[in-house]
Amino acid sequence: MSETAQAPEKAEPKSAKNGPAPVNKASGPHVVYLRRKPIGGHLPKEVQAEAIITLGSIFEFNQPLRGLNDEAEERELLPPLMSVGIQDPHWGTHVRNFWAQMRIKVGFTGKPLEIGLDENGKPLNLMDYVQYRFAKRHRLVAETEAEMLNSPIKRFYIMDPAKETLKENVNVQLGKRADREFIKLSEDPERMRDVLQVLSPMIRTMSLQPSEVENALFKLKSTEARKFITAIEDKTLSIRADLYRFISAGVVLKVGTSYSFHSDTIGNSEEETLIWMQNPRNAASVNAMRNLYRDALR
Amino acid sequence: MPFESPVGGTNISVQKVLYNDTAMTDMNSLSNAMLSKPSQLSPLITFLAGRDDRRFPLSFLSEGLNNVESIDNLEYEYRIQTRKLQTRPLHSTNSNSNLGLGNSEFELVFPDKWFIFPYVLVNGEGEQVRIMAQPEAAPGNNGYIYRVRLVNPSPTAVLTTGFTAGDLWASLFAPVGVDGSRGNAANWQTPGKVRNKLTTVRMSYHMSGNAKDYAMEFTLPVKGGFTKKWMEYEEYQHMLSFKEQCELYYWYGQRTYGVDGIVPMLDENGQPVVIGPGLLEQITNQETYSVMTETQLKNIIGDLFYGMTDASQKNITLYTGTGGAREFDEALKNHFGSTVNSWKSSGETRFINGSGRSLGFTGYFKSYEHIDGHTVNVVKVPLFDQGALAAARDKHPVTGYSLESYRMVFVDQSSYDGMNNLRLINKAGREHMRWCVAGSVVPRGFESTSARASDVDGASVHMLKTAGISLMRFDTSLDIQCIRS
Repeated sequence: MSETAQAPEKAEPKSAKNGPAPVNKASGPHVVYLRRKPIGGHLPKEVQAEAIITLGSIFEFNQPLRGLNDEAEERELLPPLMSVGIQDPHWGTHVRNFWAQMRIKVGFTGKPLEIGLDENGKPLNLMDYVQYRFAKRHRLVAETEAEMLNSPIKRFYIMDPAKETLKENVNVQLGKRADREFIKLSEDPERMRDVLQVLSPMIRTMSLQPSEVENALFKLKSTEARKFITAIEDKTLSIRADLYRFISAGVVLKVGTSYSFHSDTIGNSEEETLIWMQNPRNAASVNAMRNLYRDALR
Repeated sequence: MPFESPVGGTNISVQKVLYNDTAMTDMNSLSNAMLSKPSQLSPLITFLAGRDDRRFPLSFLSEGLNNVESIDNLEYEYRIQTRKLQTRPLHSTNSNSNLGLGNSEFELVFPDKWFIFPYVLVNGEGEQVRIMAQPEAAPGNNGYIYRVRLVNPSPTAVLTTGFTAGDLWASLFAPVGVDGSRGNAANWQTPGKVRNKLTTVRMSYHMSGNAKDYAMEFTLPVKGGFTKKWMEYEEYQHMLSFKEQCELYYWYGQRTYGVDGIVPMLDENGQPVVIGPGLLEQITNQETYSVMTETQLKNIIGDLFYGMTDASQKNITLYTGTGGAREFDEALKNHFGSTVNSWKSSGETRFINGSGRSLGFTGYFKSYEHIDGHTVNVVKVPLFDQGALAAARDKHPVTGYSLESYRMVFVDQSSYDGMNNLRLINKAGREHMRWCVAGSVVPRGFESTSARASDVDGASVHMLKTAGISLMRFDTSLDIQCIRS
C-alpha cells in the first residue's frame, strides 16, 4: 500500500480549464449553503423536514461527474481526502470511485459548505470545498432559488449569504431612490395620475381623487420600486398614460399587439403607436381621441 | 363459496388449456365469480397472474400477497410515525460566565417543554446537567426556562459548551432522591396524518366474435379444497395488460389535487379526474448515482435506518430494471477487489458450474444483508425497462439502456404494528370490475340472452379498478435515479 501523497506547497486551485474557478481567491472564511427544493405541501412538516435528500453522483459522458477541473487539480487536492496516494497504481480507479461515491446529504435547513481560502490560497475546509466544486458542476444544482423553483430538473441551489446581502442592498438602494422620487412626484398631481395610469393600465385614474392616487402610488412604490422608477424615468410617460386611458375607455382598440382608432390601424406595437401619437401630423386625431375620452367619462 | 387467502397456497395455479364447452360453463366462469366476490378474488387473481407474468411486481407484492384493504370511501387517511426526536436546540444563549460553578443552579432556555423534570440532559461534549425544577415559560413567549445543575460534583466544574443558541441537548434518564420521590412523565410524539384519494383506472377492448380455442383455467383455494374457474385466453391477456396499466399508475401516479384536496382537472362531463399519488411520489428520500458500489449500498441503507429506534432487521425490496440489477451485482462483485474481475480469483466456486470442458458461468447477486441486520432483495420491474417512461428517458452512456432501467427504488416492506408498510387500498366492490356490452356475440363466460345492448357485430369488454397504493412510512424508502449531465 502506498503512502498518502502530500499536497504540493501551492495548493491554490488553478483557474478552470472549463471555465473560471468558482471561488473568490480572496482569503478568509466564506460559508455558502447548498439548499434543496421543498418536497410538497401535502405531507406533514416533520416528514418533509426529515426526508433524506442527497446530491449524488451522475454521469458526465460515460464517467462519474468530476468536481475538479482536471487530473492535476485532483492530484493536488484529493489525496488528503482519500486513503491512497497519487503513487498508488490504482489511483485512477480510486479517484473514479471517489466521485462515484460522492454523496452530499442536504438537510431541511441546507448543507453549509466552507469554501473560503487561507492566506496561502488553500481551502479552509478541503472536503467542503471539493463538495462545493462538485455541486457547482452538477446538473441538478441551480444558480439561484428562482431557477430551481422554475425548473422541473433542478433540485438544489447554492445560496451565498454574501451575494444575498449584496442583492438585498441593491433592493434597499432601489427603495431609497423610489422614496426620493415619490416625494418629488407628490408635488405634481397630474404627473402622479399619469404614473399611476402607466403602472395600472386598466384603472380609470381620471375618476380618482388626488388622495386616492397618492395612496395607490405609495403602495406601488413600496412593492414595485423598480417598475415605479422605470415609469418615472419614462420620457413618453404623459402620452403613454393617454394611450392607456384611451384603451381603458374603448376609444382606442387593442387587438393582439395592434392598435386601431376608427377602424384605422395606428400601430402594430405599443411603441409604434406612441410614435404615431407624437407625430404632429396626427395631432387632430389625438385631440379627437381626447374628446371621445372626455365624453366617455361623463 | 368463500375463497381462501392466496399466500402460500401450493395447489393454486393458472394454466392455459384448450377450451371445452361442456366443462367451461357460465356457472364456473371467473367473470361471474368476480361479480359476487370481488374483494376475495382480486388478490387471488393478482397473485396467480403475477406469478405467471412478471409485468406487475408491485401489484403482486401488495395486493397479490394480501396486503390489501377494501374501503367504502374514495379517500383514505392514515397516521404516519416519524423518527422520534431526541434532541432540542437551545433557544437563547446564556451569556453568564462560569455556569454551574460551585454546584450552583443556572438557566437553559429551550424552545418547548419537551424535556421533563427531573431528567438528566447531555450536550455535544458529554457534559451532563439535571433538571432541578419544572420548566417555566420565558417572558414574551420566548421558550421555556429550565433550571439545571451540573451532575459533575466538583465545585470548580463549569459548563464549557452548550450554552449558545442552537446548541443541541438530549435527555438521558431521570434520577430521583433515595426516598419519597414522585412520578414524572414521558413524551409522546403524535404521528402526522396523511390523506390520499383513490384513482379509478379503466380499460376496454373489442372482440370480433371469432371462435377462440384457448382458455385459462384457475385453480383457486376454497375452504376444504379447491375449485376451478376459467377465463377466455384472450380476455386473460387483456386482463394482464390492464394490470400492467394499473401498475404504471401505482408507480408513476401524480396527484391531481392540492393541499386543500380540490381537483381542478375535470373530465368532459364535468367530473373531477382524481389521481392519487403513485409510489414514487410518496417516497420522500431521493438520491442519484452513476456507478453503484458496495460502499454506497452500505451507506444508503445505513442512512435510511440510522438512529431509528424501531429499525431492526428490516426487509427492503429493491425494485429496479435490468440495468439496476446489473449495477447491484457488479457493485457486490467489485467489492472483492479494486481491479477488474478480481472477485473471480478468490477461490469462490459458486460462480462456475459444470466440470471438465463443459463449464458454465453463474452466480449473480440478488440480495444483500446489511451489517445492521437489514436485508435487501432485488426485484426486477419490467416497466423500468419497457415502460412508457423508460422509452422516453435518456439512454445510459455505457449500455445504451434507458436510464429508467437503472432506477433503484428501495421500498421498506417490513411490518409496522402488524401491518405491511406497502399496501393496496381498494374501493369496496370496485376491486376489479368487468362487464361486457354484447353485440352480435357474447364473450364466453358472460350470460347470454337474445336481447343485446349493442348493434355492433362483435362485443366489448370493460375493466375498471378504483385503488391506490399506500406507503405507511415515508422515511424508510428511497428512490435513486441514474442521471447524466
